[in-house]
Amino acid sequence: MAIETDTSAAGKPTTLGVDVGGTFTDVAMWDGSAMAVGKVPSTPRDQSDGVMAGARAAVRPGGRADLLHGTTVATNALLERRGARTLLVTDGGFESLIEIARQDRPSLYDPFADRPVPLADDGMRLGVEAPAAGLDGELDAVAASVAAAVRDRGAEAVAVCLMYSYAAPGVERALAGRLRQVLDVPVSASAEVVAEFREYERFSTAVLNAFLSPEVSRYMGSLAARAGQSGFIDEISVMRSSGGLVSLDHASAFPASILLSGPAGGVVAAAALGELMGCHTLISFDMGGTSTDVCRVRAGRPEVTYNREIAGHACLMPSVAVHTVGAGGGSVAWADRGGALRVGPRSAGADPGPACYGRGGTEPTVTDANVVLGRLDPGGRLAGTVPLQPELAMAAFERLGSELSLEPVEAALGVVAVVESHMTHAVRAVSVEQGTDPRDAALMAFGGAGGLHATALARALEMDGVIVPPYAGVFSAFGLLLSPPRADAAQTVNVTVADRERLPATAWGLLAASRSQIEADSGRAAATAASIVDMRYLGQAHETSVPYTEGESWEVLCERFHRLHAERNGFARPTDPVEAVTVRAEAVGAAALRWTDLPAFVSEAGDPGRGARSVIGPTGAAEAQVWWRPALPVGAEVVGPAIIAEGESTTYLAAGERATVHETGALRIEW
Amino acid sequence: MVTRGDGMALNAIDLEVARHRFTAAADEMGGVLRRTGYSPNIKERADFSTALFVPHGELLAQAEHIPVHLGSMPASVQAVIDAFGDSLEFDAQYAVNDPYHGGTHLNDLTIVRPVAHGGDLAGWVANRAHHSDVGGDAPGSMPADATRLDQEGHVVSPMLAARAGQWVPEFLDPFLEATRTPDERLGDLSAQLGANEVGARRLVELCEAYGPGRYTAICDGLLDYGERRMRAAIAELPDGDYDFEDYVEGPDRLHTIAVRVTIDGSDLHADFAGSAPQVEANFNSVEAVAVSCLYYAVRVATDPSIPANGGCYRSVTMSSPAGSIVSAEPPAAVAAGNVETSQRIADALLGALAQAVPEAVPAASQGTMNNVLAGSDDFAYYETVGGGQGGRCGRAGQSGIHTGMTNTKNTPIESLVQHYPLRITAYGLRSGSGGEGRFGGGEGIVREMEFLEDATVTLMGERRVTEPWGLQGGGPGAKGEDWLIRRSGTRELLPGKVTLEVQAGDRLRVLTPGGGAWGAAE
Repeated sequence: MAIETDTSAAGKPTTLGVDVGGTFTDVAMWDGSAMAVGKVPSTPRDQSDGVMAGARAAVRPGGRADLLHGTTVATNALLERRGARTLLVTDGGFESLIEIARQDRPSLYDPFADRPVPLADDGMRLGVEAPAAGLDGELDAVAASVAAAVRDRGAEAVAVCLMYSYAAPGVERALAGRLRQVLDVPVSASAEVVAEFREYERFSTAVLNAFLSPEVSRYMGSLAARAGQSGFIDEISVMRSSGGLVSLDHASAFPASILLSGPAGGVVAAAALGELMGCHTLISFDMGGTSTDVCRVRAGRPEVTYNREIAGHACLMPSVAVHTVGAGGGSVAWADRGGALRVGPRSAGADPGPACYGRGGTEPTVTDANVVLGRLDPGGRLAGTVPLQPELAMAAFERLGSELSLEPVEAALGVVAVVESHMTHAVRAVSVEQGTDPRDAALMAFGGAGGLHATALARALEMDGVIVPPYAGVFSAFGLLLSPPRADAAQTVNVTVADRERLPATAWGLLAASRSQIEADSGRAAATAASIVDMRYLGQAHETSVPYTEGESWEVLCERFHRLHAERNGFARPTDPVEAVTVRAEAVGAAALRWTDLPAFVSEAGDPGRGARSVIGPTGAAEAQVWWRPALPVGAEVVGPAIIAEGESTTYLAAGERATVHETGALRIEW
Repeated sequence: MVTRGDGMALNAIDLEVARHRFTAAADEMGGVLRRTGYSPNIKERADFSTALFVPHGELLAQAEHIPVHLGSMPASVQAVIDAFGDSLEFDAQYAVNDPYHGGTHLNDLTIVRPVAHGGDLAGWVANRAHHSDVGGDAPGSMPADATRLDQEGHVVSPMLAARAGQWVPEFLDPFLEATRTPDERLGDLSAQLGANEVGARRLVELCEAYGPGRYTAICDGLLDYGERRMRAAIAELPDGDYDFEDYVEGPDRLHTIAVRVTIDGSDLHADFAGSAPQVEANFNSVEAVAVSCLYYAVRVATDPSIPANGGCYRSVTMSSPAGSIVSAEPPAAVAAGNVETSQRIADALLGALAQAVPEAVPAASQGTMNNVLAGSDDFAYYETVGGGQGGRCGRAGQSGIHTGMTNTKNTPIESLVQHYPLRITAYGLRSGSGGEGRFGGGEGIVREMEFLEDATVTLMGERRVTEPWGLQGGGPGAKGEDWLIRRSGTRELLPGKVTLEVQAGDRLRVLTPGGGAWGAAE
């Protein structure tokens, strides 16, 4: 597919955002004055084929570009367990700690629900007697025994994970250093990957890192080589899970930090657009074919979490706090044995896909329901080519309806209601269950199916309106252009009032290191750098993150902790002793693009009206006006019932809902 | 499928949407409790549960937390209804931990709040949290040598605990007086109160969204739906009587838990006739605990995806001889009944159900929580330790994991050494402890700790005498063992249930049981 570029901009420095998805690789190009976007097919065998094809299509002959890359290469390697054969080296007596994890089981009542098999499985764990610091002879002996195990067991990567290394990293670091000298496989040292306490979580992160290292390094190396050969790509940066960019080398060394590289871009873009539109609090809602990602944005910044599970493995790398539910357009509807209508978690996927695709799928999906109800154009075409077959969708609902004593249309309405109740639950999980009120937030909807369900969801939660952004079909790629270089660092310190003087030294040391990393990676000084301290009342087991400013006293910091603790947890105990557990630094550079740099949105010429069609809602059928979104000018107002169509996605407005075209091209929907 | 209530039709869509809405409210209560709780037991180990109930006390929806809580919370609500049903105050909250009036063991304190809408009772919200100390003869409130309930701590029979969000002193003062850790208790109690307030608000919102008549129809419909799901699942099991016996370990002998599970169409009944009489010790189970075990076992053996509500349990009934170890009477001590005997009752039920559906039920898992309590005047440490899961038809059992009636997390070693005068000297899987067979049992755990100060230690464990059984010819898992290694180097094998004094430099080595195997070795 060719990507339209503005030839008038020849010679300007160009930045490309390329985001790899399951089906399509999305491309957004910014040359300092104009945006161009497009899609090319993804190439799952080697993602870099699709990446280079997209880059080539976007950059005009003779032009050059920096490449910002969102990739699922680490995620896929983990989900498909295609990583390295990894040897875990740890203290003798603690070899199987990685398998015990936190000793809880994933399902209370299903004895067949298993925890994931550890990435370093039973035969790949080596207990060692860690030598005291400074005993080089003993260190050499341990290193030799590890090297022998690597050879004997065919290890392709090593994770060195010693107890308490977050506080005393010397021996672990020395052992890893020695191993790097004698081995030709990658070595991850747990406290180098993440210097935080809680041994299982740190070990798990280090093992993830080692497991992913060869595959991710290989990919990054091959991408760099092809980019070099192409002659038109300059620097390559990679999106990390925390919503910022790092160098290719950094991503290769810390692959555990790019596991959420894919969804992060969309969340960053949502935050940026929300700021511009004066919506400082919002919830991003990215509904695709098989799953939906929601994430809270607060004060213009995506919520970041420091401790999450990915595919059942603990990972302490900072990441956008995306909550994923297994329901999307392809989710299959079915009748359970108690007579309830259920949707998902099974998905029809892309093949055979929904019944209306006519590829042999016979089960009704959410997409089929939208076709039956007229929200999706029954006369539309799949990917612009294959005509949809609404009669197959209807037949599927006739079968489902007869099982549930429902008319087919009732069943289709029911599927929409049920999938929206799943989504409501997901939004509640990132808002009310975290102690925040969704009524203060707008819903930012993107992804193929987001606009079809957004207003119903937002109204059910009494949210403050819906925004459907421009570039919604390539929002993650677009978000890469808006993403700054970013460096994250953390160190567990366990400081109390007695040794409070230790805190500033560690905090400013981390901050300086993060600033240097930004400068080294991007060649420019950090735009902002912030210090955060995770604090708790002495004896508590959970921490609250508290901003920390240079020069501030311990007492001022503690006061802020009491206040934030009260805000978040409902109470404070100002007279209790406080502990500063972990210090964090976040340094952020300048993004390639600020939203305000973009030229004003200009609509396509021509009549935006595309006639009308009957759309069925809970209160019956209504005639909905159909609009072609690219032709709607800034300031245009569309009143529901209406359908606003564009390339890969559709927005549905029920009666009483109004959409206005914002100067960015975003749709602001109210009721 | 159409259900009617108040003349209003409820269809397949209403059911599923309503189920999400009520479950979301229970989940939100759990979120509030965990977020605002104070103690590591709430925040790190998540030893609590939350649920909603209809006005007459049937369970409407629950957040899935701890199995032994969830089957028994309806008893707490029922106890409050029995005591205060005629004089209910709609802005009040009621507390109960009395095992003989709706509780399970004294650490588990349940706070129950009525929810009114338009002047009528619309339902109940309740949450239960494990308080790490409620007084009694030993730190942690589970003295191993207790024989009477009053030795295990402060007893709260159903009583009014708060009005308009404020504690009443008649409840609060004696509770804080009794515990060794009043500050921590007050923090957790506030969280419990707040969680119920949030749950009540959500229930009122649901009443308003549906309108009173339809709200009632929706609640009835959800319960009927649960009943249909459970009946359909039970109807698939072959009719018959299935008998099984297992044993709880006393200091000098075994105590029988005998059960006959009768499946008749879509009804399932468990009869514990023939079980041993209650004992002069603390491992007596009360009826509410046995009911939890029954619900747990039935869900494991049928369809774990059935959403638990009161309707599911209309076709599941139980009888047990009063004054037995399964259904003790006052004033017997019960602390280990909740945490240990519960595991054995579940095993006995699963052993019976395995005869009906051999492929659905794993061989016996470790069948204990391996409770370790250590403390002094300066600290109180409580931990449970995972073990082997029984082998399953088609797969070996998992190793080093919690099974049965609990699912609490461990305390990270790097965290506990900051809080307690302890050092963990080994923590790993216990090689060779899983039963041998076609699908082997999971391995138990080895956990060894060194005491850096003198302390009082209480152990409460089971499967120290009997082995976790195999199924279909599979071998048993290894028994658990607890060793005290004195600083001098002498080693002493400890009984499964004991309270003893240790000195600085002594080590405790806990070897937890492996799981039994499923199927004979080929």
